[in-house]
Amino acid sequence: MVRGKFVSRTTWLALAGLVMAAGWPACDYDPVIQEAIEDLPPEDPDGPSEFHRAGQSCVDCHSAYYGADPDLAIGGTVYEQQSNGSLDPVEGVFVTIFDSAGASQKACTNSAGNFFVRLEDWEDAKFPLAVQVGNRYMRSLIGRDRSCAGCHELATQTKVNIDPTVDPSTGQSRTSAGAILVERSTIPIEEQCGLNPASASSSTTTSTGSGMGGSGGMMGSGGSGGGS
Amino acid sequence: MKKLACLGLILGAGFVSGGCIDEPERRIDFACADREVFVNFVSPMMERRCGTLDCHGHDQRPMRLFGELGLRHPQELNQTGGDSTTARELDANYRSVCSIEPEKTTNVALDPGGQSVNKLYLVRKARGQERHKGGKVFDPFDDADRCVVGWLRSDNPRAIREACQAALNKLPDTVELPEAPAP
Repeated sequence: MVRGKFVSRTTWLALAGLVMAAGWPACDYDPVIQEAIEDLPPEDPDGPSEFHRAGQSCVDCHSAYYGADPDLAIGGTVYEQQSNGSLDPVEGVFVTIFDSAGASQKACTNSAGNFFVRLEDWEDAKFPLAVQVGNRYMRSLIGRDRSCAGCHELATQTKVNIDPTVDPSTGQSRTSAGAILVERSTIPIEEQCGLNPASASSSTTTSTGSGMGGSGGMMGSGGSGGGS
Repeated sequence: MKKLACLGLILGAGFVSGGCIDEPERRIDFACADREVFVNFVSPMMERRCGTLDCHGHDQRPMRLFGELGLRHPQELNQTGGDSTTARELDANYRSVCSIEPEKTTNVALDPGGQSVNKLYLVRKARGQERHKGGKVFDPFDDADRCVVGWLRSDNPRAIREACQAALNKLPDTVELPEAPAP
């Protein structure tokens, strides 16, 4: 009788341990981000680098969730639209991001048009953010998505087929702001940056106490969101 | 006989439950603060502060907001960053905001100037007093807060307009709101 009870308790403990062990990895599972990652196109032929996956959501993978190195505070891709509608990456333009606490970061686009700020360089960015690319200011705010491509989705054939509002060139639609566009010829010299891709891609600078809306931040309260 | 009794019981239950489904006299009329004030002053501010594509301007989010710089209405053919917010979108925004907590919002609307507004999710989440994925976006009594709370409390439209305009003026893409009607 006693033995039976002991066995039973041990079995229950073992079962509980198994359930906990099986459930442990699932605690980190995020079906929304996971689906976004699984829907990404195949990796570039040259493999991961600071030039890869232009126009795709950087921070889905470059985050604590997926663990791609480095963790990014923000990242995106800048293009110029050609007369035939095609998009060319724009190299060597400053992207300035202003947070709600009055801090800002500058990043320089590389030859793929990619720019990013490492998380270690801006762990305390206060959302919402405002953005300047070259001489253009983004008209809306970034509420919390650290991947520019989350809102600036490019066109895909599938999207074009199902959504009549999708611009097949830029991707602009009822749910997307389309590609981040600048006109190279109108970028002032002070908004241009190193044309050496190796140095340009990692070039970020920080400043505080200034930015859109002046010191103290454009929003006043300084949002504390920002998880994507 | 037993089978017949069972069938009768099931049919009877069906009639009773069916009768519960459609009782028009039990419908409750919900109330919400002034629609015109929302459309003219509050929605433009909320579209820009709350309705960005990565927040409430997203098909998969609650309190969905449509707008010129965010999500566009699925029954129209506008693009983000294109034409101004349409009448259909403003109407959808009003219903979206008013239907978060219909009963509580009704109580607030029926008690102009009352304090129950501070218990609404809409207010508490924006102030960061309630779990909010976007964190704290308003400080109590700042311009954006006074814009939304003033509307919910049915304050003077001129004061609401002033607060909403001040909140908009801090954004990258401000707009000039229409004048408030004379008192």
